[in-house]
Amino acid sequence: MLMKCNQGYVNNPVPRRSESFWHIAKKSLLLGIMLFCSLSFLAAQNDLKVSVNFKNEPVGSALREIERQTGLNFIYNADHLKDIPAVTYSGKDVPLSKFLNDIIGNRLNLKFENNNVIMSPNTRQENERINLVGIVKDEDNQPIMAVSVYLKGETKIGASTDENGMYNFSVAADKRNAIAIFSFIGYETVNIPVSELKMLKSVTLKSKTLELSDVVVTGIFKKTSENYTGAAVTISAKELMQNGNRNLIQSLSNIDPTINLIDNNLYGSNPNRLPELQIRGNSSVPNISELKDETRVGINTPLIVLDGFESSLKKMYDLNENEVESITILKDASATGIYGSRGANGVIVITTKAPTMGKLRVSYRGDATIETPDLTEYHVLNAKEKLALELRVGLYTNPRAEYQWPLSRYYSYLLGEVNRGVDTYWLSIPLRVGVGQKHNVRIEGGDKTFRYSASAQYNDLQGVMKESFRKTFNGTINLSYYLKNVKFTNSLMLGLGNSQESSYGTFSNYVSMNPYWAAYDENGNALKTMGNSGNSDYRQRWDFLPTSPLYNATLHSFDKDNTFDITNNFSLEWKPIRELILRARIGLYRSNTESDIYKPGDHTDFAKYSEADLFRKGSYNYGVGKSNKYDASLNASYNKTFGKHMIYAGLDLNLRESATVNYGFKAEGFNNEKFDFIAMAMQYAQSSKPTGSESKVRAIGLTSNINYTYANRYYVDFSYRTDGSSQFGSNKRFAPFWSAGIGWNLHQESFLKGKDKINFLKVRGSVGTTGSQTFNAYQSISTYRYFTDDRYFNWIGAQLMGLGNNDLQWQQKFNMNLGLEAKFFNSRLGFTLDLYSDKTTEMISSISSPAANGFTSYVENVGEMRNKGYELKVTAAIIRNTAKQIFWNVTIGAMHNDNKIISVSQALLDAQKSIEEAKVANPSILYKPGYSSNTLWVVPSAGIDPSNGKEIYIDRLGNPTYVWDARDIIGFGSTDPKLQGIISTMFKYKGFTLNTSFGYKIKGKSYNSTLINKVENADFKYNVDSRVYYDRWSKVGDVSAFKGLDVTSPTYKTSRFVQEENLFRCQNLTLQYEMKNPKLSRVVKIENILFTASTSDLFYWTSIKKERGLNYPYSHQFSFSVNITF
Amino acid sequence: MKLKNFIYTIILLVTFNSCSDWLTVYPKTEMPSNVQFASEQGYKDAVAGVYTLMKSSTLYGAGLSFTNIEYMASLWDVSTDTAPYYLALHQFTNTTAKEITDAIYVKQYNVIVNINSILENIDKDTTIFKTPGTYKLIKGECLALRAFIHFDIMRMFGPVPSTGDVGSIKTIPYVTKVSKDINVPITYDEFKTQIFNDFTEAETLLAGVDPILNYSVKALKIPSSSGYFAPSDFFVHRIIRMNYYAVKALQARAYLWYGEKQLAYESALAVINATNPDGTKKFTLGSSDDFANTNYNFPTEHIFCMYDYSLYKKYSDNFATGTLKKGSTVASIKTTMFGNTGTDIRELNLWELITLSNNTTCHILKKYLVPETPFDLNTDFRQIPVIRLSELYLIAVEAASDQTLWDDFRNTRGIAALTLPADEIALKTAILMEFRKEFYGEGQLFYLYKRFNTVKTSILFYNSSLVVNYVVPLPETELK
Repeated sequence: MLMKCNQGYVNNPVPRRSESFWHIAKKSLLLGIMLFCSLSFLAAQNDLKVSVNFKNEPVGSALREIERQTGLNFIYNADHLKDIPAVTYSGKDVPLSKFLNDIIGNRLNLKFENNNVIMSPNTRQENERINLVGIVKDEDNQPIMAVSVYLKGETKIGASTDENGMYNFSVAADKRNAIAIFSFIGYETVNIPVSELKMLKSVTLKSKTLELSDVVVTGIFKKTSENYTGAAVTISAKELMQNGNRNLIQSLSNIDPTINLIDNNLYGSNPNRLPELQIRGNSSVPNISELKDETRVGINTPLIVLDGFESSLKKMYDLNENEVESITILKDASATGIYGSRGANGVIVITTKAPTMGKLRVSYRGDATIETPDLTEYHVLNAKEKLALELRVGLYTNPRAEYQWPLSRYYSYLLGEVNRGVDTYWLSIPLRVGVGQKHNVRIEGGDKTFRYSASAQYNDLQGVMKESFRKTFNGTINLSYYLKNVKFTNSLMLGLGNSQESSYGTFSNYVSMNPYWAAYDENGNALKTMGNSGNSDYRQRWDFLPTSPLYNATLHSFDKDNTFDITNNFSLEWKPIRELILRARIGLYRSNTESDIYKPGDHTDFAKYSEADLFRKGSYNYGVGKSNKYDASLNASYNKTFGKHMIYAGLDLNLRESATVNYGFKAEGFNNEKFDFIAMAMQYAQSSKPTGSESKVRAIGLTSNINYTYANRYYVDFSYRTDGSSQFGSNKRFAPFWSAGIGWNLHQESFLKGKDKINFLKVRGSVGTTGSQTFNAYQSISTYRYFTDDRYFNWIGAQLMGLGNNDLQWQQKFNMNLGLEAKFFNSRLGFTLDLYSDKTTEMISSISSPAANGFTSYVENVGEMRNKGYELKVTAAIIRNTAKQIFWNVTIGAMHNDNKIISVSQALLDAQKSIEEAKVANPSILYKPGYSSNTLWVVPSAGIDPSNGKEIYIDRLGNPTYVWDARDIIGFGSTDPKLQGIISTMFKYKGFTLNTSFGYKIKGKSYNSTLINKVENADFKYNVDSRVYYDRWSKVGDVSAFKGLDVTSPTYKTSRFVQEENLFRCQNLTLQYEMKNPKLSRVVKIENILFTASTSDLFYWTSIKKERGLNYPYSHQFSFSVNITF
Repeated sequence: MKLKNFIYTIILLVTFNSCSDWLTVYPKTEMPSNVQFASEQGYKDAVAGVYTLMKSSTLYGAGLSFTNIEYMASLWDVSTDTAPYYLALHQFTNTTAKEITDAIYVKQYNVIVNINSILENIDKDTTIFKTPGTYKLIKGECLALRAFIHFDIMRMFGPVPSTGDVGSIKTIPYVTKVSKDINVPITYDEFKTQIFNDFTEAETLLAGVDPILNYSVKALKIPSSSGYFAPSDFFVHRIIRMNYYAVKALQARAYLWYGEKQLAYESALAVINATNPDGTKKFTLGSSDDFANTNYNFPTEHIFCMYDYSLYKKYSDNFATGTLKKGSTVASIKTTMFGNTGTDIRELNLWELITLSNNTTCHILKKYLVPETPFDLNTDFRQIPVIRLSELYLIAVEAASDQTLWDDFRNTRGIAALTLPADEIALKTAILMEFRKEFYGEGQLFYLYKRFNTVKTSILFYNSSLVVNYVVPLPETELK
């Protein structure tokens, strides 16, 4: 509707053409205008051209200028011009129509009448709607249902496609420039402006090449992460590369705080020591026979799945990290339920890189690694202090004069040595700066039908103790062949390992060496015996003169391991129809290991052999191990969408066998160190026999998994697995495991959809059962064992080994998990929270039976344990400046686990009795109902009596006493920290990336074994911690943490050494520079170069002063690497 | 759909047809019971296993023959505050002493479970026994062994038979199955019934097959040099296994314990009078000739014994080193026990005063002195007797006051004839005196003291602190 005659309408005067262009251009005019974009108008005005130069000119005045230039009259209501922005425009001979269109657009209606241009509000179009009708198809031209279509920024306007893929909705005409979004899981989102969409009759969605972050690789099935109800973390190869260079396991723990590496203070940074890791705490308790073996390694290790097949921690440790595509950590029942009897400890799924298409690409990565020892926590006495201490504690005093004289003489000899300047810092003697290297070459290429990749890695890890190393070689050949809808893949992996322990022996031997002993004689040769005064005076102090561990290093000896393993995985994938994928896989694994430990006769181990045993000196330990595994599976997965319903179903049948054998024997009598061949031995070790073990386990598992999603908003997951294993009783051969999960994508709900502040919000929960199988392979059956060292007359007998238990079954773990995942502010703030509560029941344990049954115990399912806790991860993109290419992300991970044993068998309790009551310095791991398995069991202490330097204990009645009594032992806190986790940050500027990862632990109890072993129970004959000298009680009134020097009775496990530990350490610092220079690639055909410098374990701050790395010190690692792709 | 059916078929086939078999995996170092008992050899090995366990040091290889049980009978010198000391004082609640008696109990029942494991399986498939007689021999031996071991457990841990009404006392279970289930103690009388049931069944089974009925002990030991053609080497050397006469002999011992004197007498006579096909006696009383041939353990008297190839070492460790000794002079034995007869061949030959390297002297028993490596099987008597002929003589004398047998016995031992006293107490005393001399170091005296409920003062070499207690307490685990 046009409003012609209105008070507000202004009749402009006829323009005066004579005014100069520049003059006019500077005039400000008020003008209302609407350009009607009809062709007729444009055609009519084609000849009219204007020359303008406006700068922030109000529209009115701009129009007046046009009137002036063209002689046209613009009729309008000034109100209508309010919404039109000021004009900034310049041009010569611009067609009027274009000009008007450019400045007014479609905001007003414009009608040309004679010399008048009538401008009116666009009322007709305001009511006009644009109907959008069409069909959404996939690449195969099949309609897709339930695709959501909506306008960007306006979730209320939209629709989803029906069963024929049709969508039908309308938008207001003023939305013509809005963007319509088509999105559906598994497909790439398509954005089309409404104006274009109007013309289109069909929209094609391309199926997404799933991004890593969008899928969860469970090792059996692939699931989209958006609709996944499990708690899982996926880590990409790139992240691994940026977060550490020690080994894969270490890098993993630098990224995800739930990977809990158990610190092994004994073995420090020994490259040949496998780390122990856990996900969500202990879930198993060892059985009686394993109690004494405090290492507990294995029973809580997560299942490691490499390309769909069960693998081992060792394999993971040695794996070529450049071959890793991604690692997924599965934690809760919904995620691990598909692994049934193996899933209780969590699952780590490693996927290796598949060859990618393209012409031959070669990449090389080289690393140089430097390891330096970390001795910051060692504080030993120097020669002068040590000798003074010895004198102080009375090592050189004897009431009887005939003994006193030699003692005094011996003391003077030592004092002479000290004064001579002997002050050996033994700690540095066996150490070095380890320089290692790593080389990796990978080639890949191929076309649509045939692709290949091959890689080789040589990794030379040089530890900080001299001569200790681990050298591995990994070779991989991957081939894949595509034939229509069938895909063949074969991956062959070869691993060779060669490792050696330091011939310098155990580090602790050096720590305890007295500094006043010279390590070398005047000719620079290592001395064998220490403190030899050249006469018999030493006999008053030493029965046998102590030997130097250094001497052994000068001899020819070795302690080495060789391993060889080969893995071949073959898979055949067939996609008969779009929705169905069938896969058959078979994996074969074989490994051989060999260990050789040789010590020649001159080795100090044999120093005390008597004359008669002269020829028995020197020993050789030989061990050999073989392992064979096969693993086969058939797998079907089906994915179909009906309207708003989407169904995923998967079925997997898995069959596997694992057999291992190892044995070894010892020979002795190697009197010439050069003859290091075992056949040169004089005999087998006296009264020894070959040792060995053997096990074979077979298992079968049938897993099914169903996922149903409604409208991409609500989804449920259900999985069921039946597992059969040879490890369990014949009546319980098969066990069922299940899990169920639900999830809700709140961000897909209309009230949140399209909001900038909340981009992703998902709530999920799961329950289910899993089991663990890390037990003796044969404990369920009653077996006969033949006597190998006894007989009856001429008959070799066999005896029954125990009461079998045909009802023995899996240890069950009931898992509950509640998770929340969210992304806010354009995904700049990410948030993941998981709360869990797990309960292990039916723990495998020995239980007592009356002796009249023939055996005092048998293995039964008894005992319960609970773990509950939370895991929180917050990621913030603090700087995200794409223009300047500056990025800064910070991630904070925090977790807490609370472990509690609910019940254990009486037999286990009884068996622990002697361990608990043992009069030893360090508390033992005990499993007692009501307490965490990480509880420290000690006698409570009230500290040192300032009047006499003795320790005051608190007995079970609460009374103070000087007497240590095992019955007073109580649980004194747990080593589980209140909070632990990581703080990591990534800073990126252009080609530079800096990653840092810090680990922290807050308020965990820790038993300071250094204080008790090296200060309080210090053996003054050898070197001790400096606190012995400075901090022990010495006179009445001293308030000291340590007993008096003259209190010689040993201290047993007491709460005095339980300390609270707060820890902060830098686990990793990596700087990367990526050079992507097109010029470079043209000249030398290098695609890109990546330089990396990184350090591991740069610092370690703890509130506890405790010697770290007893048998092998910890190290800092610095590495430099270059990665080139041609 | 066809495809689905195909998949289901495969899954079903694999899962249910062969799965359970496939999932059954056996260790290489051990053999599951069902495989062990799938062959005759497996049974033989399990039987050999039972004897191997029986001759262990805890049981009849030392503990129940010459060490711990003899401490309990005050036969060896002990040092204060040691386990033997508490055993000698019958302070069985002392921790160290208790460890020893508990271990005996546990091990005895461990032997029983091994026996029961055989018995539980043996009737499942008798066709696997290819050698004639094997089935009966094994089953008979096992039943008798089960009765014998239970009897010994009862003798040690059960009540004193002569004290009041013991018949309804429930102390220990008679275990006949391999199971995790708790075995309930049964009454003294029920226990007795079980013992004799097993003995009787064993006797019947062995009567048909045991070659000891038809061949001499010696012939069975070395079949090649005699007319005996053993169906397998499992049938040789019967006296080191539970043979027919052993069953009879042990029955006699058990009958006497339970006061069945007539039955005891009959059973004893069956052994004493047993003859070889050539009319000679199957078992003969030993003589000084045995000592002359350095066969100190009277091998001709052995009805059932434990063969121990390491007996020389045991002798060296226990006796030659003076660990087990009675006094540092000859007086205690020669005078106190033997009465300085000068004729008793045991007094003259079985004891020796030796001088140790530290110049101390000790008086030791030579009963177990055997050559380290016997010249041949003929002279291989590395045997620890479980029951000897002389005991049967004494059983018969006690049960029926058989003067002839008493005379025969005393005669062979080189001591003067003695008219059996009519008075029962006097008779018992006379028997006790002889029993002590005869079975010193053979683990029988404690039981005799218990059966006679001997007072402290009648116990030879008793310690003044001894408070007689013949009932050894059960391990804690057994107290309900």
